[in-house]
This record gives sequence, C-alpha cells and structure tokens, in this order.
Amino acid sequence: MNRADIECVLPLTPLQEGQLFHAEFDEDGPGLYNMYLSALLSGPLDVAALRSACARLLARHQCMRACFRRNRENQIAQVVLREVPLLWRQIDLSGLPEPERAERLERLERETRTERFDLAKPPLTRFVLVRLAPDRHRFILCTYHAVLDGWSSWLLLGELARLYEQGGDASGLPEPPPLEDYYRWLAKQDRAAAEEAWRTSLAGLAGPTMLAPSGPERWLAGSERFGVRLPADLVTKLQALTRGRGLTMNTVFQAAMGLALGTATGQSDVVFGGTVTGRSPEVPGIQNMAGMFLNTVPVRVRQDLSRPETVAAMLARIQAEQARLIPHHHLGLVDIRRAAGRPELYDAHLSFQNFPGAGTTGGFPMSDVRTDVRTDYTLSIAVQASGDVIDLDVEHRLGLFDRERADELAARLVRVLEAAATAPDVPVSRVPVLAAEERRALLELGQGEPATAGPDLVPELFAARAATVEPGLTAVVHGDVEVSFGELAGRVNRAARQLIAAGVGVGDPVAVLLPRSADSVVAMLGVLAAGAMYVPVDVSYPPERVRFMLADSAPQVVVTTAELAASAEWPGGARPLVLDSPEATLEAAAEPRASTDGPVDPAERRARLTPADPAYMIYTSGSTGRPKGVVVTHQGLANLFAFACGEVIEPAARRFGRRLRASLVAALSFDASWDMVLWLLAGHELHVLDDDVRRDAHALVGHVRDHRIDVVEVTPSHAEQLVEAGLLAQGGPSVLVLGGEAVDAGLWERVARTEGLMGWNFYGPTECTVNSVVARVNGDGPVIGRPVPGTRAYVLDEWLRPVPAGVPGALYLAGPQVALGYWGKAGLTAERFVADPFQAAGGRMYRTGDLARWTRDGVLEFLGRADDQVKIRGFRIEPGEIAAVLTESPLVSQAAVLPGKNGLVAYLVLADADAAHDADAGELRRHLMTRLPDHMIPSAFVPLDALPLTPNGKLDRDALPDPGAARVPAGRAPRTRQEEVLCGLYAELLGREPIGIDDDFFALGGHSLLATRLTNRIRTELGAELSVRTVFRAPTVAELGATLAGARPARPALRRMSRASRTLGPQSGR
Amino acid sequence: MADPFENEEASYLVLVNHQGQHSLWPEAIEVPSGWQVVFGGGGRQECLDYVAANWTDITPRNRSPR
Repeated sequence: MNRADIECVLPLTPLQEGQLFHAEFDEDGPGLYNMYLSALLSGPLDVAALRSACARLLARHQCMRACFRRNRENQIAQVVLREVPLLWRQIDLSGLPEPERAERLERLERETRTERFDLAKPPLTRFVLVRLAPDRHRFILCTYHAVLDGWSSWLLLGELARLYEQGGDASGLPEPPPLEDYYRWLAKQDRAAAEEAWRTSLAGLAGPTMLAPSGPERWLAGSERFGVRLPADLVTKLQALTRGRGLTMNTVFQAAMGLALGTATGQSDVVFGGTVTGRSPEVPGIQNMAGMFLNTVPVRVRQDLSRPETVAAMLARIQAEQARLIPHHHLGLVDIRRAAGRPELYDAHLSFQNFPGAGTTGGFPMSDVRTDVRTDYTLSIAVQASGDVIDLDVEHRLGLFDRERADELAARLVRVLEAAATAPDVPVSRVPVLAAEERRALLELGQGEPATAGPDLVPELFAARAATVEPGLTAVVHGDVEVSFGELAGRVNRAARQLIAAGVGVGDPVAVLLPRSADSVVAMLGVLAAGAMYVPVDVSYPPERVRFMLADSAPQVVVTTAELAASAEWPGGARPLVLDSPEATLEAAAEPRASTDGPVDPAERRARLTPADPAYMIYTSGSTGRPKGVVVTHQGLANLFAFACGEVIEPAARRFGRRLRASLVAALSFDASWDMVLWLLAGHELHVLDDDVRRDAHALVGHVRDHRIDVVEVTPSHAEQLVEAGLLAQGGPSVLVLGGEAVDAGLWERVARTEGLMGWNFYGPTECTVNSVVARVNGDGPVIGRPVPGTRAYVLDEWLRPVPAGVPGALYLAGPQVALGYWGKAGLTAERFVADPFQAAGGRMYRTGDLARWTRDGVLEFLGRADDQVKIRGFRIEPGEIAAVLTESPLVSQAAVLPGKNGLVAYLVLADADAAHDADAGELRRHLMTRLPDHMIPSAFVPLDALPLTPNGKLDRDALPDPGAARVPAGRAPRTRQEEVLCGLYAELLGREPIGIDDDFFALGGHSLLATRLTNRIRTELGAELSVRTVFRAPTVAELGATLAGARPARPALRRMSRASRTLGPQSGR
Repeated sequence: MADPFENEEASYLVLVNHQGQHSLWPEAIEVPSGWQVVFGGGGRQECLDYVAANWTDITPRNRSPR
C-alpha cells in the first residue's frame, strides 16, 4: 500500500490488542474473533441498491476500511485506507429442493463465519447475499471483531436500511466523527486512578474463578453453543423487578451469573468477565460512530456472608459497586490484572446486549436477525434482550466444559433469575441455585445405609460375645501373655465391680494410665462395663502432659500400676486404683453383689447406662495451646461396631473360614486403637504389639509373619515403611487397614494390586467415633469413599448448602457417631458441633474442617484442610498448640509453627534480643519435650527479628524464610569409629553428604519419623538402645555419641537471624 | 473457601435444641428446625462467651437417672 492510500494510523484499544494476540497465537485455527450478523430479508429485493448501500457503508465508516500492520518498532497499529474494495458474494440457492437448500445455507453460514481474514489486508468485512427464493434472501455481514463491535453492527444495519431505501444516498444520516476522536479521548484517561479503582474493587478476592484448568489449550479447544429463551412470564417479572427497584437488567443477570458460578466453583466470592460498551459520552457524536470500543472487565459478585442480605439488597449493592467502576472501564484487562496482582482472574464471561429491535423500516423488512461472536472463554453467555424477548446464547469449550455442565449452569442461572424476580426480599442464602431434585440427590448420596439394629452399649456387646464364645479360646495376646475369653470376661467384670465399689458412676471419667499390655485391654473394657467413661493416658507422654490430662479430665479414679500408684503425684481428687490389688478386691467385696466374675448386671451400676452416655474420651491437639478431650458415646461406638462387623470383620472371617488374628499397632491413646479392639468384640484374637515391635518396621513385619497376623491397621506413612520392609510379600496380612491421614496414589495402587489382600481406607475425625467414611482400596486412585451405615456426610458451600458433584466444599458429618463434644469446653463444642440444617429434630453435625468433593461416581475425595491443622504420622496437630507452648518459655516472646517440607518449623521471636545469642535451641526443645509428645516437636527452630505480618495484621506465611534455605555447612569431621557410623546413618537417612559431627539431625530435614528410623538403625549398627526422645535431646552426632557413652557435651547456642537471610539450627552457633 | 463459622466480621446467633445442646450459628443463614435462638445477633466471641457462661455440661439434658 502506498502512503497516499493511507487515511490515518490509529493505536489499539486494550481489547483490540488482546484479540490480536489471540489471532497471532492461533494462526491456523478457525476465525475465532469473527463477528457475524445474518438477517432474513423478505419481499422483493433490489440487489444493486443493497450492494451500493454496502459500498456506501465502507465509505462512511473508517472502521470498515481498517486493517492491522506492524510498524518499525514492531508494534501493531490500525491502518485506515482511503478506499477499499467491496467484498461481495452472491449465491443463488433458490433452485434447490428444501432439505438440500437448508443444508447448503447452513454450510455457507458456517464457512463465512469461520473463514479467517488476513488482518493486514483491508477490508476486514465480507458481505454475502443468499437467494433462497425470489422474495426471500439471507443477508450476511461478517467482520473481524477487532474492527467492529456488536453495538456498531446494529448501527450499521440501521444505516444500511436507510441507505437502501434512499438508493445509496446518505443524506439525512449523521456524519460519523473520525475514529481518532475516540483514541484521543482514550489516551487522555487517568490510568493511575483506574488502576487504583480496580485494585480496590478486587481486593480480598480469595482466588481466580475457574471452571476449568487454565492453559493455552483453552484457546485451541473448539466450542459449541446453544440458545436458551427465557419464558415470557419470567421476562415480565424481571421487567417489573428492574422497574420497581431501579435496577438494570444487566445487574440482575450479573448477580445470577455470580450465584450460578458460585455454585459451580464452591465459592461465594466470584469474578467473571463482563463486556462494557466503552462508548463514553465524553466523545462527541460517539453514538454515530462504528468501531471497536468494547472492553472486557472483571465483574465481581460477592455474597455477603457476614449478615443476612436480601436478594434485592444484593442487587442494589452490586449495581452500586459496578457504577463506581464506570469511569474506569477504559483500562485494559491486562492492566487490571496487574493492578490486582493476579495473573489470572476468570474463564467465564457474561455479556448483556439490549438490541433496539431490528430496524424494520418498510422498504427493508429484516427479520430473524442472528449474531454470533466466538470467544475464547471456557464458558461465555451472551444475553440478548430485544423488546420482550430475552435469549441466552451459551458457548462452551469442548473438552473443558461439556454440554451437560453448561446446561446445568444455564439452568441454575435461570433458576436464580426466577427466584430474584419472584421473591426479591428473601435472603440470598435461600435462593435455590440447585434444582430441588439435584439437592435431594446430593443429600441422599451422603446418606449411609440404614444402621443395623443391635446392642447399643459397648459392655453389652462384649458380654454377649463372652457368653457365646468358647471360653478357652484366646482373646488377647501380649508378648508371652495369652488371655482366654473366659479369663478376660472374668477380669473385666471384676475390674468393673472394683471401679463401681470405688464410687465410679455412669459417665464418670476413669483415667487408665498403664503400660501397653493385656491389662490395658482389661482396664478399657472394665471401665466401660462399670458404665464409666474410659480416658486413656499414654504413659510415654511427658509428665507435664500427663498431669494436664489428669487435671483436665478430673477423674475420681485412675487405673494404674502399683509402681506408679506409689510414686506419681496425683492431681487433687484423683485416686490411683490398682486392679486386683488387695485393697481394690477388699473394697469390692464389701459390695453385696460383687463377689463374682460373672456378668455385670445393669442394676449394679450406680445409674442406668444409656446409649447417649459417654464411652470414652480421647485427647486431641487443641489450637489454643492445650489438648482437648473428645467425649464419644456408646451409641457411636456401637454404630461403628455394626459397620466393622457387617462390612469388614465378618466378610474377612467368612472368606478364611476361621477366627482371625488382629494386631494392635496404634497407641491406645489414639482412637484408631478401637478398630482392632472391635475385632476382639467380634470374637477374634487381639495381639497387642509391644513398643519395640510396633516402632521398628522390620520387627513388625517379622512379627506379622511369625505370628501369622491376619489384620494390620496403620497410618499410610507407616504403611509405606512397612511395605518397604516387605509387609506385602508372601506371608503378609490378609486385611490391611489404612487410616489417620491421606493415602497417596502410589501406596493406594500398591495395596490395590496386592493379590488376596483386603485393603481398606478409613477416614474420620475423632469427633465422629474413629471412622465415618470408608473405602475399599481398589479402583483408580485414592478416595475416602462412602459414609458408614447410619452416618451422613454433607459437602457444603459457605451457605451450608450442598455443593454439586465435582465441586470442592467443606465436609460435615452427622449421625449417631457424632461425639457429645469437648470435655469441659462448651464454647468450643458449640463452634464445631453445630445445628444440622438437613435434619428436622434439632440434630447436630460435626464441622470437620476438611475439604472434600463428591466424584461423579458418588464417592468422596479428600482435598485437604480448610485450616492450619496438620497430620504427622496420622497424629492430628494444631500448630497453634505448639506455638502457644513455645511462648510459655521465658526465652520466647512470639512464635508461629507451620508445616514444612521436612516436618514442623517453629519461627520464633526471642524475648531478650541481646541475650539471644546465648539462647539454646536445645533448651527450647527440652521445654517442648516436657510438655508435648514427640510428634509435636518441631524439627527446625528459626529465630526472627519479628514475625512478618500481612497488611491486615495476619501472619504473612509467604514472607517466612525457608528453614533449609541457607544452612551452615558441615562442621567437624568424625573423631571416632562410632561417630563415623553415626555420620553415615545421618547421611543415609537424610540423603545428604557430608555430615559433620555438629550437624543437627532436625535442621537437616530430619523429622520424628526419620528419628524413629535412626534409632532402629542405631540399634542394628551399634547395638545400642536409644529412644526417639534422646535424638531430640541430642540431635548432633557429637551429642548422640556422648549420650551413647553416658556423658553430655556442651551444646552450641542459638543465634537470631534477620528474616529471609539465613537459617539457624542449633549447629549454626559455631 | 471461607468457613461460615470462622468469620470474625460476621454476626452470629446462639441456638439451643431440646437437649440443651448449644450451637454457634451464622446469622446470615436460616435457623434449622428444632433449634431456638437464645442469644444474638452478636459478634462471634460474644456468642461463644454466652455459651461458655450458660452451657455448663455438654452431656444431653434429658439423660435420665435410674
């Protein structure tokens, strides 16, 4: 083209830039951004007049003569030529028979719509006239969208009608101002103010709203579209709503889209793209200009969860929020995203166009006007309102968002419109976004099978078993001790009588502080037979924690050993009781009915025991600094037993045709220990494994083989170790239960494909009686499965409404297994055990804090935590509890604990900044060890000048330094053969070399699980017995070596570091 | 996703059922049947303080003595 041919060169609007970017990206695809308009012309047609009217349009409007070229700086500019040819095509289909004619027309329309333009070659507009019959024509205008927007196309159509009537004469039509006026206005806009407005508008958004994973494939996937016409009475009601409340139709559709997207994504605060006209009244004559002035901007629809808001109030709020942004509509999406600090915001789009009714002037009778703009969104809904007709044009990307989901979403949007129009004064939370049937189906999905009726008191379960089983059969095995069913029943009954005689009443807490043994099982069942609440206290816990648990549960009686009874201090009121001791026996003998081993009669108890009474209490980590006791009922445990019997135990026993041997690996203070005790209640043999067996993977696998153990239950992380040690080889268990934490895909597959193995995955918070949702380990990948009988699982959104399948939500559990609450903590109980909106009779549901979703196959998938809680080796840990205990140390003024790659990391602000250099990490570790169990001891301590905070005062996690980022290199080399071996073991377990004797095991990524393995390896290599606790106390090779030799060296000091500079473990004091 | 029970900005109620069990409840959400409002709308902590002061025993009320 010659310079003389050029009328002007214009810059691009942000939207034009975006469209051209996609055009360049997608060079071979169909014309994605073609704008297409097709109208039926009825009556006799003067083709020559129409053709000259079209030519006149080209002459009148610069945009019809524009193309896109790169300048010397390689920037794309819009070049307008003085003259361009008219691209005119005329096809006659009138001679064809009907089905063929329609087919040809459709093909022709499709081809015209998708044919690409060469963007450097004007014009970027084609006209096609199809003769269907002598008095019926289809007229098609197809333009590259970046030169012409939808509003302009209607302007052109109107002008075309006038020009046609006037034989191509433009007199009476207003002269359009030059496009340059618009671009000049655009350049003058205050970008800084706009950026600020958008930043404010998007502040606090939880995340992008995505219907499908993002990625370039989105632009390449084809799309399909379908139309939805709103019922006429709905349109009438919507018109009344908007008129009566001063709302725009656009606002109502935006709100409806927001709610529908919220349901599709499980979010109450969503954002999607919206089209704005960009036609600022500040540009004189803009109403007569044709061009591309549109922009797409984010539309945020936030549901206010903090207080009741009616639909009408929400609509008014959204309209006001949107109105404030109008002066800032000129800013491009790229700049908006940058201002908001989000590279990605949404993948759904809503446009609203009010068409001024087709320009049906007498001489140019147009009807059936169809428009079509393809977009690159996962889902795009174009609302086209024309008079009393409102159509939704829904486009969805194939392979990313299928027709079924698009239909669902459109139906939900219409349902919201219906609700808004019918009852604008109800709270937003009550708008039925889901169809009633869908909601019902989701609730039914979460409903476990009906619970089977049976005894609902645990002592009855055991007594019934003891009465039917051959008394000589082995019940409990621990080391060399074997207890028969007859003997066990007798001892349990005696224990119950001794407890009742000691004054224990129904529901009263009785602590059991015993070393792991057959006696532990006797005590457990004895406490329950007495009608009391069993409170296991782990003897291996630090004394301070034991003291706390005893003080908190305030038991009248503590069942313990003679040795502990004599030596320990007992908090006020608690009385140690040694079962079968002369004192206990004597006391019981004083009771009239207490002289035998026979079954405990309910009348012997101090009150009537009911299924709703507490059966046991398990302490779990509490975020406020102290563990909390979860009080579980008899009916909960009985319900769990019914499930275990019916679905796990009996099928396994039937398959093998004999009694099975179940092994208790879990700590008795861990509620999962009940799973194996249930096998005992079902008449099978319970093997209580000792600490030295259960803590050593090879020993455990050996034990399973040697004792022909059938049933093993462990946490997945423990299972990984056991599998590595050969658990699943020949002679392994026939039932493997995984529980306590998420199972990864590798382990899942390994268990699923082990022939003959019945694998189970048990999910459940302690608050819902051990297990609530269960799955057989088979099929494709990890799921948590289906609720156990009697239990209901709800996956809910932020309004406590069921979320559709495939959408993440919060998991809530209801049914007989829901615990009574937290011992002595009414506030905390009322927070987590909340009213169940799906049950009429004032029932409660437990808020698990876990995120989950229903798969389309109707099983639950676990998606992580909604809060800070972490799981270490199946133990539930509230990092807040550790932080609270840390700040109790005089050395620490502030602390935050977070999970890291290699265990927990404690970030500290030390109390005395000057004395900090002398502070000792070992001192802090010791402080924690006297108060917390091993699995709660952080593996790294990182001192900081201050905890980094976000603008709103919360801990800024992203600003915390990585504890492994800048470690101090290895120190002294080993001096002895023993230190050499230890350095080798460190290197082996930590996977790094070299190791110096002053390197801290935990600072190098060691965690409690690895520490357990270290003690195992030390036992094998050096023949020395060390506890995990010792490793925590002496984490360097030098210290460990000294411990092994019986002496303790001085330990290095802890240094403060400035944030994000270097990491400190105790070794860096050198 | 935001947890409706963990919003420090929101207004809450305290509900009680026939067993005297208490539940924190977001005011923006319809009260489930079988529950009565005994406190609120108020701040979250305010509601929890009310529960702590008024619900002294978490065991259900209608547990019958022998």
